[in-house]
Amino acid sequence: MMSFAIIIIGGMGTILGTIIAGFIIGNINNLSSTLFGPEIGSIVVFIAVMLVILIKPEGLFGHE
Amino acid sequence: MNSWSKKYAFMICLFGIVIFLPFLHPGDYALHIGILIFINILLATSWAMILKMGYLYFAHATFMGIGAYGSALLMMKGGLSFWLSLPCGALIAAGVAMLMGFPFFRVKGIYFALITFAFSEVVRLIFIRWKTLTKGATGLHGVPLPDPIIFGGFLALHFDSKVAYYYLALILTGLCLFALYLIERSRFGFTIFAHASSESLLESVGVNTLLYRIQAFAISAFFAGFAGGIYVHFVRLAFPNTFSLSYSVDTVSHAIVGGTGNFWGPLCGAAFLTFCSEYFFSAAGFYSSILLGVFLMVTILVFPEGIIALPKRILAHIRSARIEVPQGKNP
Repeated sequence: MMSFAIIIIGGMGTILGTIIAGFIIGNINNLSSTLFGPEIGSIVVFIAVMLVILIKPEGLFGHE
Repeated sequence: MNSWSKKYAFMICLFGIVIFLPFLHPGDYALHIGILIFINILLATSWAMILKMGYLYFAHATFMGIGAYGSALLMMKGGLSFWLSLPCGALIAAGVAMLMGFPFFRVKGIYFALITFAFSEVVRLIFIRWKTLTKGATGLHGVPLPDPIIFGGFLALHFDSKVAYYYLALILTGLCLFALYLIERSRFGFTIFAHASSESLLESVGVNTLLYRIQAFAISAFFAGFAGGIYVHFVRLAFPNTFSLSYSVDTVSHAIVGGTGNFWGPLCGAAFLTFCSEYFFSAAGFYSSILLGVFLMVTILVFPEGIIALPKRILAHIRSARIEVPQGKNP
């Protein structure tokens, strides 16, 4: 499930996007889990996915 | 006897079997499968309405879960009777769909599917996290049965037997399917299905497509929540992980294998696939999901219009085979 989130945020088809999104998602997930609780970490990640799809559906580094 | 009355005779026979099944004493397991088939029929038919609008999504089990938890909690903590909590749970699911429709319908196609997938994960995790409301991952136990219907003096209809619940599920599913049929055949349904061909053309004519799409989404979520209510008062347990992507994908495959061109397609697909997965599980145990996956692949490759289009295709094959025999004989 996390890999889906990383691909969606990074952009489908870009390797650079996947790497950078992996860093971002990993940090968001662990920070939120430590601060608020394990499930809230994942909730924050998926809400981030929804926001990215609303703002830039191709992903942060995606094309077309 | 032409083909039209043959089709009606077949459907009346099938209808009769479904209605009088408990009188044939098939056993509790068969009635259990029957109730699950009714729930899946309602889910698949309501999902297919949005697919025919041009939007494939993976959040149907989430709305089922919202309706299920809503109905169970309204009955357990709110003290409402079943006949109020079931529609109210479904209305909560419809309300959430109406709210989330505004951000969701900004995107189309694959992105709509992805955003609904993310939404289904968020709601599942909220069900797990909100322990004070939903008792988290351990699930809600002891969801009450539907309240008995009391006719005047001492004649009461209790729903603690599978036969009684079978008829309850049959009547509720029948009413919901009737309502969906009327909605899909109405002017509203006609406008909804026009979205699949060309939304920009509809907008240029002056139809507020966003509002129509949100209304259709809310109606579909209402029936998903209704099915969730029927489900949760049957199994009397509510786990967050039941109402996740897996059940949504099951609903998608029921509707697509059944055939979405026809209103009755998802009904056939849900009945057939639920029966098949239970049969494969009892026959092959561990290998049942492999068998089901292979079965689905073969189905999509061989008859992509779905099971509902099979009789027409078989008849067309038979007719074309009959015509081409005497062609080369005339000098």
